[in-house]
Amino acid sequence: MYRRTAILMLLAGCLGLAACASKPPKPSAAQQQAAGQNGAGAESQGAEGGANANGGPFGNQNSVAGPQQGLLAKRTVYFDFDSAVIKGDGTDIVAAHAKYLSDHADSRVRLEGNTDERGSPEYNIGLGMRRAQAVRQALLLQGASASQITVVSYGAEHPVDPAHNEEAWSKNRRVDIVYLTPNAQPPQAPQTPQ
Amino acid sequence: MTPLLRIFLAVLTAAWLAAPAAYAQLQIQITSGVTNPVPIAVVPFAEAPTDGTDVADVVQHDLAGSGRFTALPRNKMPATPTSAAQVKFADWKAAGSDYMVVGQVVPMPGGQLAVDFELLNTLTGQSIARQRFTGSAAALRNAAHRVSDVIYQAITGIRGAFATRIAYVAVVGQGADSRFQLVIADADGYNQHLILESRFPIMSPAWSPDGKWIAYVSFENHLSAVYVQRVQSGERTRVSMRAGINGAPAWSPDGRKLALTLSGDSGHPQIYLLDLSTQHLTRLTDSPSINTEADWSPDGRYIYFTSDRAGEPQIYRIGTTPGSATQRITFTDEYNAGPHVSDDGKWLAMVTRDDSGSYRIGLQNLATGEFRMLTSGRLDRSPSFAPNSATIMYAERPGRGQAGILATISVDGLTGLSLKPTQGEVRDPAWGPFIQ
Amino acid sequence: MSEPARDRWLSIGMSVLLHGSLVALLAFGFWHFHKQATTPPSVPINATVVDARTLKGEGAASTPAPQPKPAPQPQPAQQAPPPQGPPPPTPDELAMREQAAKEEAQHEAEAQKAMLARQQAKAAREEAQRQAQAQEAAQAAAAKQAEEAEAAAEAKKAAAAKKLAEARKKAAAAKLAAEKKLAAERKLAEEKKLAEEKRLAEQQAAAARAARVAQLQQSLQEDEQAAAASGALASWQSEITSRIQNAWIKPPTARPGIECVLNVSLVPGGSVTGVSVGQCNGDDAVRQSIQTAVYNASPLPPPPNGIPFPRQLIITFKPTN
Repeated sequence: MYRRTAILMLLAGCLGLAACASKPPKPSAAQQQAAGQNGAGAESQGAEGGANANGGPFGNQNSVAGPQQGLLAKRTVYFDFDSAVIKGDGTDIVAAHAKYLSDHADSRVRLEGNTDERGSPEYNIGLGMRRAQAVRQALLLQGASASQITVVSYGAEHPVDPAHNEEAWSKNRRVDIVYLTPNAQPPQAPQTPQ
Repeated sequence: MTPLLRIFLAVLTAAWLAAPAAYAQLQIQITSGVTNPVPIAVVPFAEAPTDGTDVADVVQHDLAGSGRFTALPRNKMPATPTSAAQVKFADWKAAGSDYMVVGQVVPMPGGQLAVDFELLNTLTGQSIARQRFTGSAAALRNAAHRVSDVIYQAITGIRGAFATRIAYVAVVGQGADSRFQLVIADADGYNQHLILESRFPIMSPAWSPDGKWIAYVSFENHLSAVYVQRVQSGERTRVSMRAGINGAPAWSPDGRKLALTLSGDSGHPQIYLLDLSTQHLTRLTDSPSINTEADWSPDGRYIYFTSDRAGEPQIYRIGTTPGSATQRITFTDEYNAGPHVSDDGKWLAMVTRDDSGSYRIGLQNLATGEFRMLTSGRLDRSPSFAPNSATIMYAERPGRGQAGILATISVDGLTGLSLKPTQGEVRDPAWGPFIQ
Repeated sequence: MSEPARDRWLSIGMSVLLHGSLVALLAFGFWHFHKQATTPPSVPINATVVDARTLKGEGAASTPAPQPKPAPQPQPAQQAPPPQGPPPPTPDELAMREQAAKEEAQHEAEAQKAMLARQQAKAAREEAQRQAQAQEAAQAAAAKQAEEAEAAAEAKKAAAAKKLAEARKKAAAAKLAAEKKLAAERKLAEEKKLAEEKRLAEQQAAAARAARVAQLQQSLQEDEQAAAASGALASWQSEITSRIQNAWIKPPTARPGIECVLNVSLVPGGSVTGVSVGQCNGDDAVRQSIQTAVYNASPLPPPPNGIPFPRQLIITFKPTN
């Protein structure tokens, strides 16, 4: 595991160096701190203390923050069309994370609710929130506390698969469980060009 | 034939033969017509050297893009007159054009340009409209749009909305590299200005009634927040970043309030009204369901919104004074969401899912309740009315594997134009108000 | 609300009819039987049936038997005045005379007895007849009484039944009204919201219906137009009409309620040489469109054979949808 971490750090460092000259190199942090980058026009600097420790602005399934053992490595729970009922092994995944959260009071997660792309965008925000709240409720019922959980809904705006077919849609109907690093700071605000 | 009828016919025939002048004034009654695009020819203007703006081309693109006109291609034009005196009407009538536009761009002192044009009826030979618009060279495109407005109104009776602006969200890049952009452009998609760029989603742009502000939703902290940004300066204010949903901002017609969707961590999304000057927040809806996508009626008395309190989303209406009754508005089809009311108060546009599972733009007559499907795509959404209530812009996915584009359609179903980006996709259009 | 009033008048009328007929029947019967009752002597209505056998002395008769007339004394044989005449009867003759006298007296008594009996029987017969008559009268009276009673009872019953029926009807009506009212109230309270929603759905249907009706009206109007004239003239007129209709690109502002008159000048051959807009409440776009339409429809089709082109056409544009 340390090897993997080292390789990733190296890659991150290379990326930082490969960026525009005006950009200062990324700090080689002991932890992964590839932050969510908000910028206008030109790339802005990294290390804004991203509120998550995932590999990109949003987090994807290659998350390296938070627990990795067994079920806990799975961070995504899926749903059927127009449904906020956790399906399949999602309930087991949620149970595992609930136990972890209840055992580690300083751990915090952000639940990100998503939908497939069909229909009206803001209504999809509501549907995604319904799903995130379902997971939140399940976590609370199984030992997590409310202060450990933040919920957000991205509706249809953050698909993992941008294709326009049922296969992609079923992958997008999900809640992502994102572990937040304890000393997370909010990222820099986006630029408004003049 | 009965004897009576025979006599009648005999009398009639006698009348025919005896006095042909008796029916010299024959009466005809016309009770219907056709809804076809009007054939028009926009002849290239005599141009002064400019930045390359072809005024006639802009006008032609505007008129044809509205769906209500069909323009004669340049290679079919019999001549290139630039004033009415030069026109041989018979030739243009023979080319199939009912109307034609001739004009010139004339340099004025101080670096200004004057656009002179005349609208002619090729069949009657009459001049219908004749006007001059003066402005800077940089505003030549805008002058062309104003020419289109005059022509559009003279022939359709409806005020033109070509000299207006739109806002929309563009998404470039894929996956982790994707960037979201909030863009303002002319209604024909030209003159784009980037007013916000972010790694996080931007949604639901909404113009203030005076066209000076844009409200939108941004997820820039991984969490949603509603911002209000001044178009001219870029100066922005965050108006809501509460736990849970902050979404669907909608300006009241007097510009003083914003309707918002808020949910909190554990609650259902409800519609709230935020007074922008006092920051006072009032809750309007109170239903254990999703209530979102508020849109004000033009008189400010009602808010139309989406609610799935009945199971699937439908459009409802509630009075803007707290405690008002809620009334359901849509009854056709299982899924109706994203309501937008036209400025003249007559139409309600929405996203409707039909029996085959296609999401299309539906249109309901608010006075009669009559509903019909307007578009015929599979993933259409986000309808927005032009300020003349005659055209709708919406987002569509033209086909599998193709990126999202914007399209326009007239209220009576004549397809207009498509706005395709050179890269990435565009969505979430918001048509701005008439420019004062 | 004329239903109960009408019913009420009906009830009254029938009641009057029924009662009147009963009264009439009663009067007639009374009069009829009254006449019959006066011929026999009226007897008090103490209708004990008299058995004729009691008149023969077996039981106490109510009327005493008439007293038998006293037997006439036998005439004593006259004592012979001095015999001057026949010789005095012999004792045999005397005995015979006594015997004869006795027999005569016996016969007399018997005859008297018979006469008495006959009288008795006659009296009894008369009595019986009178009794019978009395009985008959009594019976008739009784029958009449019974009939009267029956009639009265029937009338009463009919009246009661009528009243009952009326009352029942009224009760039923009242019950129905009450039920209706309750149901209506319930329905109203229940369906207030639904009615509103239904109203909207019905509005939609009504709009569709109205559109269909307008369409039908329009085609009817066209048919009427065609039928107004006759034969070839009508078909020519409709040909012109459809030509212009297909050429009229109707602007959005040409809504129902707009009516514009166009005076069209023609030359032989059907070409339009001039148009002028007459009475018109449409905007400029409408005015432009109707002129353009007529020009685009030019040249108009020729009229039927032998009839010259009219020099003027008056075309009224009056959209119905």
